[in-house]
Amino acid sequence: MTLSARALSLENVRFRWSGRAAFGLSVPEFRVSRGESVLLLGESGSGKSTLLSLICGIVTADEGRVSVGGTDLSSLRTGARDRFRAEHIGVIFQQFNLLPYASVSDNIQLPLRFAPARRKRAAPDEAARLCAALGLPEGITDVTAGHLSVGQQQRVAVARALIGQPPLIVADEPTSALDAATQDSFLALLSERIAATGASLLMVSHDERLGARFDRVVRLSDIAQTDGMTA
Amino acid sequence: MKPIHLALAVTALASPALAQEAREMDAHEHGVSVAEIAVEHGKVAINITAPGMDIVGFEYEAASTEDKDAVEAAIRALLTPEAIVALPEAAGCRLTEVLAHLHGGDHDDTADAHMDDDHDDHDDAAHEDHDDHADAAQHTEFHVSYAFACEDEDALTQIGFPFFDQFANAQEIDAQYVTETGAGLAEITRAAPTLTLE
Amino acid sequence: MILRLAFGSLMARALTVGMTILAIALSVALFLGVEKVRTGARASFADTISGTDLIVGARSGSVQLLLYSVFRIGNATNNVTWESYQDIARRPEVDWIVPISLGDSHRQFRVMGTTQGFFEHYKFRGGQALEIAEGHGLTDLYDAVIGAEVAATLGYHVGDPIVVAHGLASFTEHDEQPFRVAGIIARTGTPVDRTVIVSLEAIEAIHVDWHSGAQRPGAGTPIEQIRQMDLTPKAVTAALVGVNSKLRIFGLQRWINEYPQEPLLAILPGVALQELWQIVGIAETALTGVSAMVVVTALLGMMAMIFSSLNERRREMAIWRAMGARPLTILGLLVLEAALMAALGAGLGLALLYGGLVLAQPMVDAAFGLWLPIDPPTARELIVLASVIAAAAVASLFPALRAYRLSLADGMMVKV
Repeated sequence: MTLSARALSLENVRFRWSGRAAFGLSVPEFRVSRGESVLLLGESGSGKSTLLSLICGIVTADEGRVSVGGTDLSSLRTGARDRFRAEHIGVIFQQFNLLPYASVSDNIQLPLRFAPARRKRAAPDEAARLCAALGLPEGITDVTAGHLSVGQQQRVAVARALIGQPPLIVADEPTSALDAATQDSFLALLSERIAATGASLLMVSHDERLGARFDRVVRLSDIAQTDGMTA
Repeated sequence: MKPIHLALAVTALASPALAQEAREMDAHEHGVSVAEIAVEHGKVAINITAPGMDIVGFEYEAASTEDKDAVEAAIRALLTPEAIVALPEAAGCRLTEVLAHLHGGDHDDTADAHMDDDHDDHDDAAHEDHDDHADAAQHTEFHVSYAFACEDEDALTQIGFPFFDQFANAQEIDAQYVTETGAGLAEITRAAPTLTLE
Repeated sequence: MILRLAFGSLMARALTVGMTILAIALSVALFLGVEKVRTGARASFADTISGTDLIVGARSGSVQLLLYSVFRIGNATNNVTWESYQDIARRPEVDWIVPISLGDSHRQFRVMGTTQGFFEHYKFRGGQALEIAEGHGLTDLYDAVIGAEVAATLGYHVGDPIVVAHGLASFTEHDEQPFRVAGIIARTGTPVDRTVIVSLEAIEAIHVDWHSGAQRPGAGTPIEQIRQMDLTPKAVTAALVGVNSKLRIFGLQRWINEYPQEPLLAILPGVALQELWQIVGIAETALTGVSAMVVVTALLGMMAMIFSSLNERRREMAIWRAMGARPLTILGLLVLEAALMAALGAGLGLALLYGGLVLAQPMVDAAFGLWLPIDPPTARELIVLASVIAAAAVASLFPALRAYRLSLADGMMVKV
């Protein structure tokens, strides 16, 4: 498998936050293949946030390389990294994903604002189609996001991550705010939709029970070493 | 008390005295010249009174040859309007009269050049009483007046003062102007040597 | 879309944003209002006299002469003798000359003695002449022509009798010689509206029995006898002069100012007015400064509001960042929001100003004789509004820069 065929690869990565209580993270090797779904298990404080910041290009590695879709993030300038993130990565947080004052449709289309290529890929009615596919009620696109239930908000966040088919979806505990019943159906939908677009999924969670739905389960402690205070 | 009658009484008493006291000194400030500018029907009259200090750098009566040369040079410069005032090119102004003299001292050095003998707007009022002042003034002043006739009155929007380039000691001209539309007051300085007529 | 989102973000914080906008609006309305009153006052003063080349009075300050002769503010310290007046009238430069005699009053209004020439030569608002709205001008010795406001305030009509009081705030009345309202002058928006005009001879006539400010004891001279008397005045308060050529104004002015028999002062109304503005200008500048500071205060309030909102908006910034927004976009967003608030505030302020003008216009006119025109915003006012918006944008740079740094530090992983 060539490098470019990998959705994500970290090699000999070292990173240390500057200015804060010194917290460092090193990842000798970690890869996600194209179309693969990986569950990364880790307690809070195990360096998840730092790892996700590295993958999304919010921070750059002090050493080693972080590649997304074959592009070395550290080779990009700051502005270009922000745009790269908009173009290639769909991000889902655990909660408060949406701008509460904006409509569902504006929320879903927000990343397209910063990603021209992704915008071109997205059909004009894609936001509505994604909402429908995610089981959201019809007409929800005009509703102000702040008025939705937490479950609906998370599904809108999925629609936002998927719009314009970015090759990599990064999800940070997207189910933690949901109750058990909703969790399961949410995950099912997520996997199904991601499979439909052929994107890779990297999901971070502390919940081992979710593992069944993934191609691969990796413990953060197996791939990364941390030192110092947690960030 | 009735103001009119009271005033009458006061004036009646004061009148004889005033005839004696009427010699007054104008406010005289070094670095500050005074200009009066009137514009009507394309005719422009400009009067400038400048302290001797501004023009030649001294205000005593010229005694040495050097001082006298300086006064003569100043009068010659004042007689060259384009060295003192700059009217807009577009207005097509022609000089019709120029008069320059030193004022204050035992005698007035007057140089008068009538460019246009038909010119009848010559304002005599300013001349009549020169000698009244001469013996009272400690400070010498230069007076210069110009009259121009312009073809295009509408183009007379501003007047420049190369005066400041000519006389290095001059800092400011307090100008009063009157046009057909109104009158105004302006401070023309070395830094902004232009009068805009409104 | 960014604009829509910025607007939505503001709407979501309607209360604090609304208060901020209101503060900006009030400050803008105040600032523009002060400007309006300032320019209105200037225009109204400048409109009061036109067509008069020189005003001549006893020697005093030029501003003082202008104020008492034209605006009926303050009093003359001295009068001009009739002899001097006639000397001036005989000057070849003089095209016309109109004497003015002040000193008496009718109720709260000044009485001015003058000649028919006043109606011909006094011009206001760029050359407009006085117009008799009702009745006729001065024909009889005891005719009075009154200004529109005199008529309106005292409810006078043509034919009504008027008794002139001695002095300006006196109970002694010239009641033995009543006047009759001969005409009412159409409203001018000048002090003429608040003036009772009689002939110069009439002023003389009512003082026939007065000497040294006291009424001569005994019966007054009968009116029939007064009518036969020579009523040539001995002095006038001031004179308005028109010259036959503008080029000769300064010459005539100098001649009058150097008139040896009497200390006189001739002023150019426009120049004296500008001198007045130079004096008043300091107060005006102070007033403008204070109202500008109010605008600054409102903008500082907005800045504080944005600063305090930053913490609660860190989550929002993180979302923007995660979606690919650069920190610079976050900065731009905050500046855009501030500019939007300022624009709304400026717009609302303009609306408040015009609303206030509509309400205040008749009151200000009645109380101060100051007519504030309701015109579309001037270029200067639009520049002020634009500056407020620009200043808001600049002020918001401080919190926006903080947001910029926060969003750099937080990235997309803010802990809330």
